[in-house]
Amino acid sequence: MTMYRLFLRGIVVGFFLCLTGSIAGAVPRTWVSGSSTAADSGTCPRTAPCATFAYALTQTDAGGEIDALDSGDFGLASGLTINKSVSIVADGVVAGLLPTGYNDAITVSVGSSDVVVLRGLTLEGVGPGFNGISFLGGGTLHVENCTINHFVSRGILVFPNANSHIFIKDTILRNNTFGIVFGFSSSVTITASLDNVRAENNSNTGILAQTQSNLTASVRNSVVVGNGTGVTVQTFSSTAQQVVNLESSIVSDSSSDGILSDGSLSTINITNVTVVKNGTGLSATSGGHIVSFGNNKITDNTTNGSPTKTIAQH
Amino acid sequence: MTVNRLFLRGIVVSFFLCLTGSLAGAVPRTWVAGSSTGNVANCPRTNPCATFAYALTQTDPGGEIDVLDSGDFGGVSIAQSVSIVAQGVVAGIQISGTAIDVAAGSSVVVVLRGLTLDGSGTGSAILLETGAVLHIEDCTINGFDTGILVEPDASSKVFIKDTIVRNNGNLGIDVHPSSATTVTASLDNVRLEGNGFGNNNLALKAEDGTNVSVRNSVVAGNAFGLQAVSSTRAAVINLESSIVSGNAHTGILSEGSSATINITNVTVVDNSTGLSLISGGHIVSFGNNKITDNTTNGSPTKTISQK
Repeated sequence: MTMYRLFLRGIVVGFFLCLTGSIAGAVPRTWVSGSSTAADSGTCPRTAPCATFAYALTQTDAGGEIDALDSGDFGLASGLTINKSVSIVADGVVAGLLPTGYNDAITVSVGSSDVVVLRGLTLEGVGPGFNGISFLGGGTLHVENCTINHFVSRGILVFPNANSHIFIKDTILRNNTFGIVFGFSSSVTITASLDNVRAENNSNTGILAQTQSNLTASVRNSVVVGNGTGVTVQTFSSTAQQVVNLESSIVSDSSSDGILSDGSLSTINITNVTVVKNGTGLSATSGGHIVSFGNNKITDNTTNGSPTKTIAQH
Repeated sequence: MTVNRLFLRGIVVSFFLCLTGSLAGAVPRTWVAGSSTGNVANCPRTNPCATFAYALTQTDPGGEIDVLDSGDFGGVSIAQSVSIVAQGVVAGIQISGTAIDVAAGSSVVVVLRGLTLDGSGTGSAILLETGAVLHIEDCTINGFDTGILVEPDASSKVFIKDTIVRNNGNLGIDVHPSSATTVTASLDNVRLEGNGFGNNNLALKAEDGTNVSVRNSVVAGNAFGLQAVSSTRAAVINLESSIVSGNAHTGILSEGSSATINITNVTVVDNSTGLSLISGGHIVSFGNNKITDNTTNGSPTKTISQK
């Protein structure tokens, strides 16, 4: 009898631990699905996936991963706010977010040691959504294999208040007002790497750097085409240096400037860049710098313009 | 009795709401699937529709049609902003004639992503008839008369990325705006293969009023490669970091005094004629192209310095 009662007590305690474990938290990997049986409850295991990224995030350990099991819309009208390290990963499915009411599809607001990965997402701004991705805190953001379409304001807004590292790869930013904006923020340092990024038909600017922070951005193997202005670096503080390295890329068909460097703390280095069919190809104003390695193809713009300096390759 | 009547009234009201809801139209996101059991109102994820054409009628302007699983979703005529998106599945249209006809206004934005379009030697995979912004990504286009036919009556922008255009009997891609309109087109990581053999024609043709940039692309094994041809207005192709090889006739052809093809970091090999000029056409080099092993290599008309 005693043994039996101990056994029963053990079962009760174990069950309680199990329960509290699942309520308090969190597992390293959670799943979402678009299937009709998906529901936001429990810890979103592979066998009972959840319906939204927002709920799955609450069930995911900091530093864990949310995976999309099949295609679906995993957003909420109000958008998704990410407040800790996490990877959201979709591969071979349509993992959609479509915010409404001028909300951002995804707001990333994490600390300077946090890392957020967004991979394989389809962000549609028809709702209408305001920004595709807003990066507001600090830390590290990886955007890979995403499409960001038709947002009222920016495809990606980088607007941190702490030092930040931004990596964008294999991603298309189209039909927004701005493709990507490095916006106001002060006294922090932002590094950014863009690889195989397409900024297409953004009505104002494809890539805009306009921060009060020190910015170093590299843009490689990318296409900036059919925007109002292609690439703009604009000095916005008396101390913050903004440098964009643009290589092996094309800037074409901008209705205004292809490449604009405005202000003495603005620098755009260009190597193996084609600048064609823009209003003005290269435009350096108010002391802005455009530095060439002597290997760029600048032709067929209404006004071609020139680099402010050419330095030798080694 | 009263309860029963209330219940019946409820059914009538909900049925009416359901009807008006579905008539009035439309939701921002609809779904199609090969496993669909039929077209139903609003094409929700839980009950996806069978065809793009029906799903489009249920989709808000600017909304998105997503493909849930593999299937053939039939031809569609598009007259509103929409994104059709497939990833990780075969989203097919196999058709005799034209698969996707974009007949919209110039403020309309259409995205076609991840489609497999298969023709029977007639029509086009994608036909742009009126002005629009058209994005074609991750598509394969095979066996039409002309793969992508861009002949709008209002100014348009076309963006083509990560797409294969092959075995179309007449033209791979024809950019051919009507008079007084212009088209800008951007091709990135596009493969044009085996086109033009039915009509001894081209992989890519840019006609009056066009500005086409081609980058990181392959133009291989066609009857002819690419041509800018101008009769009254400028036709410009900017070709960079690409290869033009193994075409049966000319690789790069510029025809007419307002036709210009700028070439930079381009390899032109194993064509009958590498570079060819007709009626005052221009081919402008940046001095960094590799032109060899063509039966006749040909030369650019001008070389300008890099900056």
